[in-house]
Amino acid sequence: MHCHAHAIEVDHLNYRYQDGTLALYGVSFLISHGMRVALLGPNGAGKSTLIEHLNGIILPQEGRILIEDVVVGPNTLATVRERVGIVFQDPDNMLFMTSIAQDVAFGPLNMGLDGAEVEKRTNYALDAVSLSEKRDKPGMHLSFGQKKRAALATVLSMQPRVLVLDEPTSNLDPRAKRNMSELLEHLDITLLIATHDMELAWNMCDTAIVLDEGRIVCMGDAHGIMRNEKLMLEHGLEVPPSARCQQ
Amino acid sequence: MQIPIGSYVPGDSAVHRADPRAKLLVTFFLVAALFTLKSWYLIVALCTVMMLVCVIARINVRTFLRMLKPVLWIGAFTLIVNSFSFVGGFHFILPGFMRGMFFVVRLFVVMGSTALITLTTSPVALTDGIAIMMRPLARLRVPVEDVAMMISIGIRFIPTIAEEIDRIILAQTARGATFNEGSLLKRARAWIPVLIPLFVGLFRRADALARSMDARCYTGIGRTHLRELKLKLSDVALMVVSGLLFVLIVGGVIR
Repeated sequence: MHCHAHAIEVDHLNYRYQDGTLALYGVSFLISHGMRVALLGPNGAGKSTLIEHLNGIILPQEGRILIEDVVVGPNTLATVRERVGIVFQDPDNMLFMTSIAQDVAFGPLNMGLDGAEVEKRTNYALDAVSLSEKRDKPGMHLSFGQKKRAALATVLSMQPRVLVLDEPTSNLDPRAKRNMSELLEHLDITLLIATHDMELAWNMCDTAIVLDEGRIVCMGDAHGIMRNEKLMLEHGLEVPPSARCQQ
Repeated sequence: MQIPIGSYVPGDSAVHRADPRAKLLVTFFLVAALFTLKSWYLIVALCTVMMLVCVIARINVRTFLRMLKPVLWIGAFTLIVNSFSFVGGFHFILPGFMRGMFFVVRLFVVMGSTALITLTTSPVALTDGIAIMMRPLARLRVPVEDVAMMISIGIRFIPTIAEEIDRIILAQTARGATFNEGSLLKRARAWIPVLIPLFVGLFRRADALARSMDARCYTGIGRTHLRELKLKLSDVALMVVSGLLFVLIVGGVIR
């Protein structure tokens, strides 16, 4: 379907905070269309900083990022943000309009789409996350699990080619967690999921990237990496229960 | 903490359906005319119109009166100050009382008519209306869309901030803070440990919000609207009639 070889190409990306701390160092990887990639690493590894580079919220200080054939830079932000959708960890920061439907329509309206198309996309996205009935409710009146799903809908309505999720299952109860992972399972889209939920990564992803102290430790087959107990423990991670069952 | 802002009551009455621009303009004419009025007849007439709008919009009397609560104390103060005199001993003066009543009724009509807008217009429609009315200012490089977005987000976050304040008060109370003991200065000081984390939290939230808006292509330019507002004939008629009445009242033709 896509003529571009890679959905995301990150090439020798460096990023230093204002206080001089190195957040990312020499980060390079390729993600092809259709891949489902888990971004693993301990707190403070640089996962969120890396994610924010992918649609130009942070611009590369050194190195470069390509989204399909477009280099991320000040002049390509609109294109890049239409192609890469980010779902942030805290849904409260994504639901700021007076109703869920308005929140879901926010992105498409910014893209300059006409009213009928926005309405169509809003309905599609709300349907995909099973929140059509709550469309006129303000975000703050939803349960946390519903808020997480609504936050996902706000990005799905933009129909991005790559979906980047920061901790999609954090703070969710087991049922909401199951709902979220079933929902993600059914999405036909390139996924990059930054998560500490090893079970989600195990079930959902075919590839894993381990990031620690701003550097890529390894990238490869998700199950192979997650089974490696020594590697997991060394980088503040753990082998998921499902992997132990198989061993 | 209860805050009576953003208290839209959904409905499908003629008042609800009227264009927000028409409602804003009519209210503007009404409020401006009120300040030039000198006769009771017209004040009573305007009160009657306001009540009539309330009935058509099917607004519960209690809901409407609750909106007037914030000006209750100002009204009471105005009435007392006007009604009594200390000159030649403390005594009640009827003309003063009548003048006070005139001010109070005027104040309540201003508050009531603006409350009617927020009760019958959704915040989204209201900000859309304000944005369109402000459009000419865009030529002077005023960021009209941004201002409308700020108003909309501001309204949306009032309850969230109230919740945040409650949460911080609770956390500080759990650690032994007291807010209603001691002198006025001590009580004021007790609020410092509430306000500092509140503002730190608000700035952090504003930053996260901005990033999430950026990520969804927000630039404030070239943004489309879900439903373009279209003035109906009835809206135009409403604006023309109220504008005419305004001119006649201000011009002193209707006294």
